Amino acid sequence: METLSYLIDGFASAVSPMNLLMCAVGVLLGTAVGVLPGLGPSSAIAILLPVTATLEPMQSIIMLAGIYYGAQYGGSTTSILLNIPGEAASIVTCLDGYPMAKQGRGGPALGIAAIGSFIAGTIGVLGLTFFAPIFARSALAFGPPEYTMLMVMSFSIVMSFAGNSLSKGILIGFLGMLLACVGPGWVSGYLRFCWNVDQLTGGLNLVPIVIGLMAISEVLKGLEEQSVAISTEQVGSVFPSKADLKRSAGPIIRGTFIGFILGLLPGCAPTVSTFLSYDLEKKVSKHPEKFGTGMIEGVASPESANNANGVAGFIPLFSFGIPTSAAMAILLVGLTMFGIQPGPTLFTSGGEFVWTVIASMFIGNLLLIILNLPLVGIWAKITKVPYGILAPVIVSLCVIGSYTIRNSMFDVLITFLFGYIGYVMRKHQWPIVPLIIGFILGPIFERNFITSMSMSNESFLIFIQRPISAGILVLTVVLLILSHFLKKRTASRVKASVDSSMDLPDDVS
Amino acid sequence: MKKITAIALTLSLTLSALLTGCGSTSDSSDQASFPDRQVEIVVGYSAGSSPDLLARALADRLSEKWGVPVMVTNKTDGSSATAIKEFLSTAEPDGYTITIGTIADLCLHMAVNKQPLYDASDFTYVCQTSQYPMSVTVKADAPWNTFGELSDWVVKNPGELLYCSSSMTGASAFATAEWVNTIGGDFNAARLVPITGSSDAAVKVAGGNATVIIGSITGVLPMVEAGELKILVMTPYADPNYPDIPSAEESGVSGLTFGNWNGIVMPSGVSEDILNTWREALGEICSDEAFIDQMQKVGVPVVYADGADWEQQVLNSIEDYKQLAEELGLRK
Repeated sequence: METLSYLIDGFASAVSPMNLLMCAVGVLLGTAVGVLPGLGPSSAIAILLPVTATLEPMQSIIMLAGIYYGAQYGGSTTSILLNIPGEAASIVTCLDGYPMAKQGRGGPALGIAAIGSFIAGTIGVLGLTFFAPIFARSALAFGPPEYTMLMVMSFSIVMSFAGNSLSKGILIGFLGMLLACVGPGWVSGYLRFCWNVDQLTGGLNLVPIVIGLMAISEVLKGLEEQSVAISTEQVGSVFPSKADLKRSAGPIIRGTFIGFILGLLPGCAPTVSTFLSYDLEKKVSKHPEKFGTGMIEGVASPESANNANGVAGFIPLFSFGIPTSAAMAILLVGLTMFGIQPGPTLFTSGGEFVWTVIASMFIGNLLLIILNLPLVGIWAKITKVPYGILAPVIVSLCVIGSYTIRNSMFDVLITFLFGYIGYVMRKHQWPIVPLIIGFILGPIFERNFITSMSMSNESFLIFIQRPISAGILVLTVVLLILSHFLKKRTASRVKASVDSSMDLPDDVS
Repeated sequence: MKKITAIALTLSLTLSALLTGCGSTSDSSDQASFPDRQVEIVVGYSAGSSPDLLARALADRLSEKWGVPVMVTNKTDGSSATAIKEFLSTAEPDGYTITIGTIADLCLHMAVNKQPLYDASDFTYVCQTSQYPMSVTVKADAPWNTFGELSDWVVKNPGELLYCSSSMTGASAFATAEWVNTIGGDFNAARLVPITGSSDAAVKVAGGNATVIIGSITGVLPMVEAGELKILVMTPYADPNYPDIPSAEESGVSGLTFGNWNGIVMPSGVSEDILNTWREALGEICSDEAFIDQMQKVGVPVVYADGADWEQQVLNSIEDYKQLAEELGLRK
């Protein structure tokens, strides 16, 4: 019940005019970002992070979080109406959403996407409210050896889940870890991979790399593709019928559950959970053959999954300081920038901060459903802006964002370099997720591994002598075996339903 | 022909403007005209860090006082030492660009590295603006209730001490090394638990993964209030803001000197007049009650010092720590 009183205090603080405004700005920007192809939530947060540094920490994080979960809403609009996924997590929504729109049932599809998102988002925040403090309290029991094993587990999951081939996943994951090694080594301060370039002695920064890999490469790819989508003018009422609601109730709950659980694990970004939940719906449905022709279940479930997934990612972030995706990693950069340390203290002494942010998520979800249903038409129009105009705008935002994070022209060069690398990788269907996750988790692994070694006088036994650490190791092996089977099934089923050459998508946002 | 006339006219106008401009101030030398344009404070630390908070507070006061914009630029694309190196190679010694350093940048860097990126002689030392005693913090249910008891345990159990520091050459490592050396323990047997910052250290100590953290009190305070940690002493002196916490001396361990501070420096060769303008302004700001309060709240206690004495003190510290680093085999 302590939690409840904290949460009420959080609400009191979240409804202050400035916090409310930031929440509204965040979710609106997020929706826009979700709608626009080429600008995902992680790059949007990366670009805006330096700008929000001028705000109070609370307002800034409220806004950045709003962008993150707002984007999950926005992505569905264009998927359904135009068959253009605004971001990778909405690809699955196209499968049944667009056929629905062609049949003149675009309205109910949008409605159910928003309702599903709202329910999943709210359940997700409820989970965050009650689980995060419990996890945070147990975080003290997690010392360096436990973190080391957690990272081993994360890597195994990411590398086996992301992309279409295990070997590519492993290779690229290690490349990401190597990139993170640039700069002074942990503890020793010994310079690695610096080649006498002064700017490299501080290491590579996450923000320009994410902006490059996610935004610039997407723009490059978008410029060469000719969009052939036909807009469906006939939207119909956005309010689903009773029958629609009845059919969607189950999928929404199942999607929420899948999204939430996967959201706790690193690398299992919204995208993966949408594919899994779509697959599950097909499996439990009495008419699996009708999927892809405009089944409302095929919209409700993935849309719920990606929202629950997005919110669940805040649990490991707030309780352990472990980012599960690029967007979360950048939020972590933001937290550290404001001197806020995730972990047990966040929920006790610094309580006001975290509870206000959580309360703002409840409010944000409400704002999203109020704003989105009537504004659907306007969002759809955004995509009619010619890409020739949109692309330069996005690129200039990228340059500003990557420059201001450290006031460094070098970072701008890094952004373009990684933009090109990302473009080549996308072209050749190399997954980008493992690269970013490797870059984020690599240093956490290295630090905790070195610390564990220092604590144990260089004995590896420390990893199996401590019960929690040993437990995670066993769990990793079990998960690896499980994911091997799971992946085989999902991949073949998704391939069957997506008749294009679409691979499991590479977005972690 | 017209063009040349125009150029000549512009030139003569500019010249006369310059001359009259100088004429009015030449009697009172540079001092009166400094500063007449934007001043930049370079900070080699990220936004929200102690030096950054200090720089931003000073910038507000300075621009109010001087009527020129004072900008804070965070240079964090390298280490804080590379930021200072870059600062030294780009900033003119004209007083318009200054930087804030910590003991790690202005003393330990030279003490630890046989080939430092810069030397003490590269700087014009303006003043010290703040100084912090460090807190010695252990787990709340640890068996030691005083610093003396902890010290006895460390001496009797070589190799058992797990101390926190960002690296072997970080400020916390130096503080720990000085302490263990002073009480007659074996510092080389102690094991380092590397940390990313003082709040990370707090979690490590509270979780029982490290024995002690000697560092800034602001990082550990939240966990102390949550009942997970206890502060044994402040070193090298007691903090007047926490009168209940004894000093190391009062707890039976004397001879400790290591504490952290922030100093303001410019490239060498800044004129005496400009230097005095800076010291006057900063000295005034640092004696203002409201400013002292404001900095206290963010955990950067104001302790002002300048002049030749302070400079000599910094130079002496470099030599002292050089010796300590040599003894401990840290100098590379």
